[in-house]
Amino acid sequence: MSDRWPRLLSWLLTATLAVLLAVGMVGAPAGPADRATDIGEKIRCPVCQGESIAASPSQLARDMMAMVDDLMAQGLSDDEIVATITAAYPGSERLDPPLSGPTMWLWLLPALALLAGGWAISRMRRDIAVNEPPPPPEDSPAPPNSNRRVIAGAGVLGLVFIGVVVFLAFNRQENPDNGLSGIADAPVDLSEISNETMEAVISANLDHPQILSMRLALADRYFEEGDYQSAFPHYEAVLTAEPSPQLAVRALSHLGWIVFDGNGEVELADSLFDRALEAVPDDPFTLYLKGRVSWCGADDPAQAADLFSRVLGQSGLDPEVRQRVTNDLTAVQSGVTCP
Amino acid sequence: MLGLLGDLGIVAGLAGSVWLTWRGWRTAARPLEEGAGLGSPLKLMVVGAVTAMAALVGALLANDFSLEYVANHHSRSTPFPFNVATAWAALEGSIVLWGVILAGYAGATYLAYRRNPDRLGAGALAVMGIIGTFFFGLMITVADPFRVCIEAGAASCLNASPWPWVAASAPANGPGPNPLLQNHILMAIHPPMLYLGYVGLSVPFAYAISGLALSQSGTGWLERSRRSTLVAWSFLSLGILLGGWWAYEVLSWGGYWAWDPVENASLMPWLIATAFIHSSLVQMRRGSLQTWNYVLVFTAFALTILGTFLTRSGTIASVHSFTQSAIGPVLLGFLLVVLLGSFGLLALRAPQMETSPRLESLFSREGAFLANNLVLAILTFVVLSGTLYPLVVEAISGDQVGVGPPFFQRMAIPLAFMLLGLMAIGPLVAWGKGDPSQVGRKLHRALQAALAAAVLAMFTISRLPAVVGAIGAATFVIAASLDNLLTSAGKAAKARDGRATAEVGRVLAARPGYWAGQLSHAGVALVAVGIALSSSLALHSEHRMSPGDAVSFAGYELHYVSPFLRSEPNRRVEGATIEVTRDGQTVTVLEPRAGFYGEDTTGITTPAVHSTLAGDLYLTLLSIDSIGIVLRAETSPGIWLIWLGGLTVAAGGVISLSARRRARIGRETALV
Repeated sequence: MSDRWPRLLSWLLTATLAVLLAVGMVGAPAGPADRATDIGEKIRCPVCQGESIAASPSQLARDMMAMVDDLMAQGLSDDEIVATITAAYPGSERLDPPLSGPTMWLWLLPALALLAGGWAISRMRRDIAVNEPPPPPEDSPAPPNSNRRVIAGAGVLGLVFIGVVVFLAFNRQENPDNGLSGIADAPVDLSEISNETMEAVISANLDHPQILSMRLALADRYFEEGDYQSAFPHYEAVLTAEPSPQLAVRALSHLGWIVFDGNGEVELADSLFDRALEAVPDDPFTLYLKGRVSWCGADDPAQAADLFSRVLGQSGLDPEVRQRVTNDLTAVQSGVTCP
Repeated sequence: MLGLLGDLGIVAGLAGSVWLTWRGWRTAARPLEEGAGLGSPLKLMVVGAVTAMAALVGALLANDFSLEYVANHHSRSTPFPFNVATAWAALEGSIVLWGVILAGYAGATYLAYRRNPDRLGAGALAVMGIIGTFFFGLMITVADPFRVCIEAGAASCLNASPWPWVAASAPANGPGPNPLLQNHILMAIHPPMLYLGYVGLSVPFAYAISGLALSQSGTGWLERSRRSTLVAWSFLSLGILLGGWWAYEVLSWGGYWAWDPVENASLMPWLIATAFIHSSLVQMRRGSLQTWNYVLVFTAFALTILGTFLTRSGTIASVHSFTQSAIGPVLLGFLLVVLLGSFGLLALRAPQMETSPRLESLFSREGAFLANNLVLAILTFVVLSGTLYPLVVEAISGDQVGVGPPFFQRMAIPLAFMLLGLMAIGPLVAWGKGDPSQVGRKLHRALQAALAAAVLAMFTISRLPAVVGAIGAATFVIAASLDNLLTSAGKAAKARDGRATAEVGRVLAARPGYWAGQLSHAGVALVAVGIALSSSLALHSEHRMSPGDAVSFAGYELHYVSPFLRSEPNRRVEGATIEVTRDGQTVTVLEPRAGFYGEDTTGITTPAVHSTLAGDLYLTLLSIDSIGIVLRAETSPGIWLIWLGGLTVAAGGVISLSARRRARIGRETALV
């Protein structure tokens, strides 16, 4: 009787504290309210070794964090921002595998293993309930299969693990767009990224599957700036990397123009254009450049006119391009020398 | 000359290992009279390993650039102690370190064997001989540290020969060790600590294989190897802690753990070894979990080989992959042999093994240990799958996928809270069959303390669930243990009419191993609080500043006084002098800086840290040029709790060792 009151009071204290804690935590923020850092932690810095862009002090990582801020200001969702940035920078994979698609099992397997383990442990108890009374520890005869069961279980788990990893790996190959289809297709704005940054990303990710398109984007930018010397090695690198026809034609046609415009090498330019047209027959850009070279370099206005007409014969041309080619065609037909 | 000596050392180590394997196996198979014949091979192995290491260190100290290793990893200007630490900073040297430590553990195993010469011990020495054979074999083949340079470059060796008698061509100087490795004193200590942990796990592995091969069931192998397991575990804890500390002090991103593959590689054996330390107790006390203990010990050892493979093969991009070499496939092959050999042997012996007695009740100490083992195993599985998944995908499909901190954190946090809960409850539950209501009564006051601490934290520190939860759970762990200690002391005092304070020491001394474990638990609780505080409450900002500028940050005023430039023997240091004031009073002067080593122009940024009890002020120089600097300022609240907690964890291991030693001496004197 005498120690009942203190115990009751003690429980009352516990209950009060618990209620206080519960009430206090209602509406508490779930995590630190720094959205940019949260997003940055999900993106691997492409030039650092395994650090996220939020953690790395490198210049590139800070540029990318600035891009996160910009995209946040544009009102994109977290996932969209991560997808946009990882698509723009080869080598900058997302660090949190999504709970869907091929990486789903990475999340689910441990949970399943926890359940399976809990079940196995509870079985250890149930067995004894059946075999009551408990056998004395040291000299119990062995039911032969019980140890094997553990080993077999471990073996099966290991095999399942290996199997799943292998399966996922092959599964991924069929689905190379990283589960981000739709978002990855959205035009990626590379204009925010400086040439130096692109160079850094490229040299840090030479073997990356998507690095060729960044190389081409950078080379095209140099090309348009008239900096043929910087553009040349990138086009060359694209060609040596066994590119797809679409990438090859871009590199070959630009290279053709560079050797003509930069060095005046008509024949070499022409052979490069021919290689480009082998990759993608009737590529309008290549046909046009080839026409320009025929007109201005080879002094062959007839061939130039023919090539220009082939360009104009294609549907879906940009109106501005159509206008320009039409002008050139008129000029070459009326015997004007090339401008 | 030193190269020749080193080669002789390696050959001696290899010969000793092979001999030890042979003699050990013979002795285990057909017991000799008094365990004779194992001492000589062991001495040869130890002398060989020490000679090789001494020759390597000697060559570094003597600037002997005629050796390829020295020419490529050392420079005349590398200061002490980094010139010595270079001996294990690169691949070949780290294998020599592995050999030396293995020889040391083999020596300790032999000393134990001499006191108690039996087949189990001889077999264990044979297994260590096999491991030694592999590692000394590496040293004369794919990881030869004493290759002679035959074609010198400007500041490196371009071509080398394994034969010690060829004419050497030495460069005048070398490039020095990786800049990251000569930036902080911790880097000289962290790898040996980690290796002491890794290699130490070979001792329980050796005993386990020996016991299985000899068909000796029972707990002999556990008892004989427990000391080494605890030593290895303590060093591993310390090594991981020092690694985190080094990352924090050197890598200038304000963190201490990045879930980097190589960090993960050191965490996994630690997790499994922790599980093993607990589950082996179950077998020693109750006879259960025999098979499971073998599985754990084999896994732990295999994970250390995996760790070496990940660190040394250059397979993964990481701050740790300093080297790339042909050693990768060889280590992978050894890993396969270890896995197939050990698990195959286990499967072979399983039919002969006694069945583990079943649990009497799930609510028991062994039940809690089982739960702890389950959580630790799942955590290891998470870390393993997250680490290897990107590797496997890239190997097979060429795609690069990232699995990084967000994944590991989200998985590890719930598991960590489960562990904290188990740490509070488990130690209070009796062996065999626990009494839930009694445990509930014992835990009531701890629960009140936990709730009170959580409420207090909520009002004074932060309402973030991670912070409140970690503080509550950690208080629960520590309060439960303290309450148990004081209650026991109080009861003892009542029984003997003594003072409770005097009885505390007696209670502790009565079960030193148990209380050492409790100390480690308290350390883990502190680490949990440190992690929660530093990751949830950190502030950070970036400032572009010119000399004379001042900014406010987290209650401090940061004044950029001036840039500075210093020339040191091995590097050029550029930095900024920042005066830190608070309420007009100067607190400290910090010098965040960048070090430039040799021809390297990118520079290694080194943060400047001001530590207080509330937390650290952490300044990093992001860039410095003629106009000014870009300074990143961060806070790390409560981060010292991680260092203190980590040391406490390791201290628990060390104390339980000395406790076991006292207990043994006590037993031996009692016998006399």
